[in-house]
Amino acid sequence: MFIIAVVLANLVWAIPLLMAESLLGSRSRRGTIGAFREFMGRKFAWMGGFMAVVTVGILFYYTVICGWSIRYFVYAVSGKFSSGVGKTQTQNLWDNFVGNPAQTITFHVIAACLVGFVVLRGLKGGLEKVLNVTVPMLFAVLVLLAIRAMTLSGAGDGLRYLFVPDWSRMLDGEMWLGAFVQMAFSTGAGWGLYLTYSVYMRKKEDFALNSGIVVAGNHLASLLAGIAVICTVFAVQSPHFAEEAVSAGDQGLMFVYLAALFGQIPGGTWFFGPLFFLVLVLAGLSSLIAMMELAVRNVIDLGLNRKKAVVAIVLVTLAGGIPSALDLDVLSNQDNVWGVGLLISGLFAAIAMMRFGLERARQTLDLASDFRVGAWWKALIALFPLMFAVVFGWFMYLSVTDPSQTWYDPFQTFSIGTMVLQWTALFVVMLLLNNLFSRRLSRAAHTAHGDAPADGGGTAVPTHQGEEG
Amino acid sequence: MDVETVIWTLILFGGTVVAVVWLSYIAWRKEQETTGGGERTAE
Repeated sequence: MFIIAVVLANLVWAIPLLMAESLLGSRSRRGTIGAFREFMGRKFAWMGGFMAVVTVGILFYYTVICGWSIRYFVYAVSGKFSSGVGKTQTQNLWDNFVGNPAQTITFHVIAACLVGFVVLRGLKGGLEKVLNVTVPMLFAVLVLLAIRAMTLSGAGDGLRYLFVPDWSRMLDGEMWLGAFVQMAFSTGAGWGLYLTYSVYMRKKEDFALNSGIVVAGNHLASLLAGIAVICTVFAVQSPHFAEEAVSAGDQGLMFVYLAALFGQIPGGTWFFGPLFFLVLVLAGLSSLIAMMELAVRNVIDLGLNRKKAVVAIVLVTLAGGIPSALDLDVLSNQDNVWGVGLLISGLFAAIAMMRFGLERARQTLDLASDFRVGAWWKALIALFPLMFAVVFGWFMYLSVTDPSQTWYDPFQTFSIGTMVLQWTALFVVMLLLNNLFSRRLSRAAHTAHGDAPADGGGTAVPTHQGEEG
Repeated sequence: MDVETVIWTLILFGGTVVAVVWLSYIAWRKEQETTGGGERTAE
């Protein structure tokens, strides 16, 4: 049922939202803060700030997770997951690793510096070169791992678990919120990443086609990863172990249960194990590069050059990730708060489209598109507030009526209270910074271009390929 | 593997593969037209 929910979320939320984000970026030629100022007016630059900070909030703990992947890749290459290694050993390995701050912080620092190095080189010199290698490699390795998993005896149970819908979960609000968050997380819809990339794209890019490819390609990669992981777990272990493994959450599944299985698969210790963790590292780095570029783009818009902006963002990431590197509860809390926060960011992008004029936005998108961007796009964007209210409201209702949860406690890892508290704090800070944002954006644009009218109605035009400063 | 699993795998996984291949083909064709046939503008 979850996959069907994700497909639906992709169609009704991710595709129209990515198209909206591309229009925001390509037309304003600014990062999230500047784009919202252009589309919504000077008083609403804070909305772009909110979107940026939600993504930076994810960047903080995601760097920590990427650090784990790098550590586990090193473990795998050094033969740590051999045939005699079972779940008890991998659990101990995991507990010792995450319980050792020196290790988690060291690998967090390595991941942040690697990403900073790539972003420092700009889009053409760094990001494009890295993604040209990592994305095809990622797909090739995922296909290989999925084929290996599907050819294991008993893999059919895994496919059944993955693909056959359990219709009894149709009205499960938590499942629907999970599907929307998963969709937002994996496609990048609502992060502002696509907005940032669009700053560097041609204005007449076919954004409808690009959005379709991003969403479909991402969904395929997710399914391949799901097949590789779930089929292996179901094929190698008893159904009871498999159920336990898939219930253990992403961290437990990847770093404890799956790690314990590589020794039991032919070629697992020296080939498929290292390959799997290499995929995790590549996927993590690709995402982190985009997130850091988003933050850097905004700082450049506010007047710093690329070098200073990258150094500042790397330092902030190093500091901001430390609480998550030290405590898994903090990491889970941040994952929950900012993961759901992406839906608010998506809602903001939809509001920006409404302010700009849905028909005007549709016509602009349709102009360069092979596909007809018709009334369906306007209808879906207009429905964003309703979709958000239904999905989040449903989740709130279930949480509030669940006697086993203290939903209002702001100090609980997954409570509504903690989400609302952190979002509110962010709203207030961004509102207070709004005038500063607007002033800095105006000053930076004036410094960069003098009084000459810039492309896109008086906005600054960053050098393509990110070679500014 | 039972029939139900095969059918749903084909629908959900096969459908995604078809979508990716189809969209990639359109993008590739568009790229070819742009580079081979000079500037292409939208209608």
